[in-house]
Amino acid sequence: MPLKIEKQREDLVCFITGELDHHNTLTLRRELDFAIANTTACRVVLDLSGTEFCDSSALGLILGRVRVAKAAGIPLFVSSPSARVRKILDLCGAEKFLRFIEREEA
Amino acid sequence: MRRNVKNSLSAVFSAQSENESLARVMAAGFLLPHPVTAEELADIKTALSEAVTNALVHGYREMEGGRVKVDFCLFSDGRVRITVTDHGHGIEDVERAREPFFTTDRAHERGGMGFSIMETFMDRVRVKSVLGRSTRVVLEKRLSLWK
Ligand SMILES: Nc1ncnc2c1ncn2[C@@H]1O[C@H](COP(=O)(O)OP(=O)(O)OP(=O)(O)O)[C@@H](O)[C@H]1O
Ligand SMILES: [Mg+2]
Repeated sequence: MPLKIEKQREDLVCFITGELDHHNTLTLRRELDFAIANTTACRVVLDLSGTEFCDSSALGLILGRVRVAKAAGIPLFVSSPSARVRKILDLCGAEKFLRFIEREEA
Repeated sequence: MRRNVKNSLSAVFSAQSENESLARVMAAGFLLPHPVTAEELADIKTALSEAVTNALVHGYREMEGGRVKVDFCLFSDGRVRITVTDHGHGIEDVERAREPFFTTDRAHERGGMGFSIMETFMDRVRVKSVLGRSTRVVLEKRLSLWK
């Protein structure tokens, strides 16, 4: 599965690697929701540095997790998308709905 | 100028989400022997992924048993044409469906940006749909390095 989750200080960092298409969102959605529901972290960070491909399904997945995290009282941030992935998220109006952060390597 | 077909490839696969990546790999395999830039290939793979995903999630509403056909065609003037056909539910109002943020599937966290992405990344996108019968999406792009 293209997902690795680490607690780094106060952050729950979720590394989404590989191809973020509709097929992969089906399992990612479940695993991310489980991790968010069970975390003690203060922030959720979706690290997209290893995401090699994405399409419109990615935006649905990310915005859905923003809502799930918000309902759990935790803010969600997106970090390190490639220029290509960022371009697609921006096309979908991401800067209006998402908060991007620079993450320091732990 | 008359366009001659330089190469073509047709594939029919079951309406299963794992085949989204298969379709993208086919696009890469079909185009890589030719002068295609990395960006053009990424554009084409993204647009194709949108059309195939739509066939699965809207055309067949994620029910098994359906089939999706993808036809790749490369013309002698460097134009690539990819046709994605499903025999699913069809689109009631194509013009409306193509508008940004229009979706009939908010329940599954869809944002309604698939057609906009196809239009951004391809030179031309045509959609023909018969409600209750079929949908065909034709994606076209000219390879810039073609001689
Ligand atoms: N092959 C198809 N069969 C039936 N309906 C379709 C098909 N393709 C698209 N549609 C309709 O057109 C609408 C818009 O499609 P579009 O790809 O732009 O957005 P979406 O798939 O709803 O969301 P997103 O692509 O952002 O996840 C869909 O919600 C659906 O109603
Ligand atoms: Mg779509």
